[in-house]
Amino acid sequence: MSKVTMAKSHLMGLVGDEDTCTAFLLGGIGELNNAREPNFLVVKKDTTIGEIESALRKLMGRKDIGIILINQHIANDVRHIIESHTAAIPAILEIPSKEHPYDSAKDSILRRAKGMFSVEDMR
Amino acid sequence: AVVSTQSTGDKLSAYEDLLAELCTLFQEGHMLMSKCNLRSGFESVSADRLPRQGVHEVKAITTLGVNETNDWSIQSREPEKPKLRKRKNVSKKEDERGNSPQKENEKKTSQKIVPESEEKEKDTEKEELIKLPDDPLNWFGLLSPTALQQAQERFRAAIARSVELCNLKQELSKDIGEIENMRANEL
Repeated sequence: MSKVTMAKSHLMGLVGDEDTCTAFLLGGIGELNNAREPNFLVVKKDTTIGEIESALRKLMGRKDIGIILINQHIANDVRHIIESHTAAIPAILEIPSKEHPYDSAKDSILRRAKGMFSVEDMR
Repeated sequence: AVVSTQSTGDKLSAYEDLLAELCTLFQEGHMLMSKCNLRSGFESVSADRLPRQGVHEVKAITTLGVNETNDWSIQSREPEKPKLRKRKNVSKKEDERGNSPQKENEKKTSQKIVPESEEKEKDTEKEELIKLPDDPLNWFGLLSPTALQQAQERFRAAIARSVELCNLKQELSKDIGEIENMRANEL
């Protein structure tokens, strides 16, 4: 059984629209105090792409964040940052939103795997 | 040769299944939240009630633990129950004594004039962050409707699926990378 490092726990970061942030914060991942910046960004209609990029970069630079969740439709606007991120920690996961269902065609893993396996490989 | 207990194909189908499960949990959770808004009042559960930087203080009850192989696991703690304000116990004896005019005058004369410096200190005390209830369920009211509790369960399950997805994504990324390298070497 692998050991779990209990000494330091990590937070989950979140970049999502209002509904997604309400949902995940209801799940208990939100943290906010004066010592640290919030681990989430609520993307509203007037939030610029620059602000999203800045917030995502800050979350990626934090050592206390292990996984960053981001709505897929927001991730499409900052795809260049996500594609260039190769570090294992923090991991970035794209999630669906209430108004934008998940598009499997844009999932990085499924795109890479598509066409990798042919019928001959399965025989 | 890559030795794995589960083939890449199986992992891919597990990945798709987890994604579908995540989407379903989301939909159910949002439906329940909308149900809650419909019954309690428009937008009673919304982003307006979320904590704001510089105003509120909140601690996460769901965090992550990581092992040697960078596999994530959920660590959640039991939220503290909200403390009810104590009623100011006014004993019957004090009530019977009553507030006589003499005592009222004494109270008025005993009131000190607070200097400005002390007033400023009090103001800075007021700037302390408002500590929200530990359980996010109570951010939207102490008496949370059943639909909201059910929505919270869905979203907690969605968080757990997200963590599993993340772990599987890391494994798949490695496997696919190895396959791509092997194919590139063959060519």
